[in-house]
Amino acid sequence: MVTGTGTGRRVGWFCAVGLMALTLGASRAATTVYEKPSNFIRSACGGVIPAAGAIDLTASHQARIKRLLGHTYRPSRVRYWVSGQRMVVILDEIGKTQPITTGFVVSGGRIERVKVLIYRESIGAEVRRTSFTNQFRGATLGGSGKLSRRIHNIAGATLSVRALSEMARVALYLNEIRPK
Amino acid sequence: MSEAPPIQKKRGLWGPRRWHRCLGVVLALPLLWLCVTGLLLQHQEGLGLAERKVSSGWLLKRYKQVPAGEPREARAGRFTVSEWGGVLFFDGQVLEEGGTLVGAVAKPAELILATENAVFVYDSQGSYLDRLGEESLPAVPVARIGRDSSGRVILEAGGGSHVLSDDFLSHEKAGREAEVVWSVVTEAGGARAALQAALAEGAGFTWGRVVTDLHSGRLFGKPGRFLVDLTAVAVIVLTLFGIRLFFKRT
Repeated sequence: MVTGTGTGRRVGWFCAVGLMALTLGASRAATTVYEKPSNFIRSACGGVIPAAGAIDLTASHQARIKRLLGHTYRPSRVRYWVSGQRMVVILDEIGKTQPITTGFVVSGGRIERVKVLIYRESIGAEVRRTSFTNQFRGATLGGSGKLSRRIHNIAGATLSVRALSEMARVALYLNEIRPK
Repeated sequence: MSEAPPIQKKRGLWGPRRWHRCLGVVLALPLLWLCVTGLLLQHQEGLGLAERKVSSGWLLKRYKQVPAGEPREARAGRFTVSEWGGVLFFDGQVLEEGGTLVGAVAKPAELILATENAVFVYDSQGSYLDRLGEESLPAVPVARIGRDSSGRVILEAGGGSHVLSDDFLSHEKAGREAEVVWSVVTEAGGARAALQAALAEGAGFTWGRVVTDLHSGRLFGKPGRFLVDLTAVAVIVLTLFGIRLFFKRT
């Protein structure tokens, strides 16, 4: 029974302190560079940055990309680097509010490596883990525009997972259309 | 033998009735605030709050829609490029790209805008053509951008000058003889109001959001949210005290 001085006041303070802890515990957005894009290109191309190539995205390219990504790609020119059979491309896509910079290595129409290079969102950074990015290895682009492998979601990082999956599709498409 | 005096039940100074009364007085204002904002939210479509854009300088600043510091600008041919707290503007329109502006130069069909960590290329209509990130630049941060007498784009970065190729895909060290007209970034205090209006327009920041944040307390940051949480808990406590007092009286 609540009898005034003791219990009531204690409950009041407990609630106040608990609420303050909840309120102050909100997370903040921060930019984290996991790897510089230049280092990623070097590591995929045997320690050097090869001469860059560029794909100027035409209206028909953008129409296809719109089906893969949900919108056209900005900028309208995408740079890529080639070493042997490998193509390296660095793409940006918004997760929830901020762009996620991701490096893709595509070889023989299959994804060889995916790495989150710069992450700017406050939540969802679990997509950087190799346990997640390794799922893309060997994935190809199907005729319907879907990846040949099912990418498992990460609870709490749904939008980032979606962004990476969409970028993977675009990377495979860019490998198809790049001048050989 | 005298009888022992009856044991009196010790009553606390802060009984339920007093708690109820004091909480009621203290909570009157926050409750009124929650009720009024709740009603406004309930009828925000009818009142047009969801469409009406906020132009108040204080609110825009509060929501960080207005960057800190003074805007700066660089002129490139007939274009004006501005930067305010990392937000970039092209002839008064907000660009999605951002960064600290170091300069801008214009070519016949392109505008090249340099920030410390990236160079952006636009066509004369403002369409975003290309981005040169850290991996495509000679070095970062970029210190200056300019054009030499033959119209080539020159970047000063990493302690040296570098010439960008016409397609922006490669670069090489600039010769010593190159005479460069460097882009100059100046303070643009006079453009502040126009840029603020562009930011407000682009942000789609409406009164509906302000009232929602007034209701949840977010408008006043963490203390505001804490106060609303505290009010909600206190209303629950007030209700329990009220029920208890009702049954005690009957």
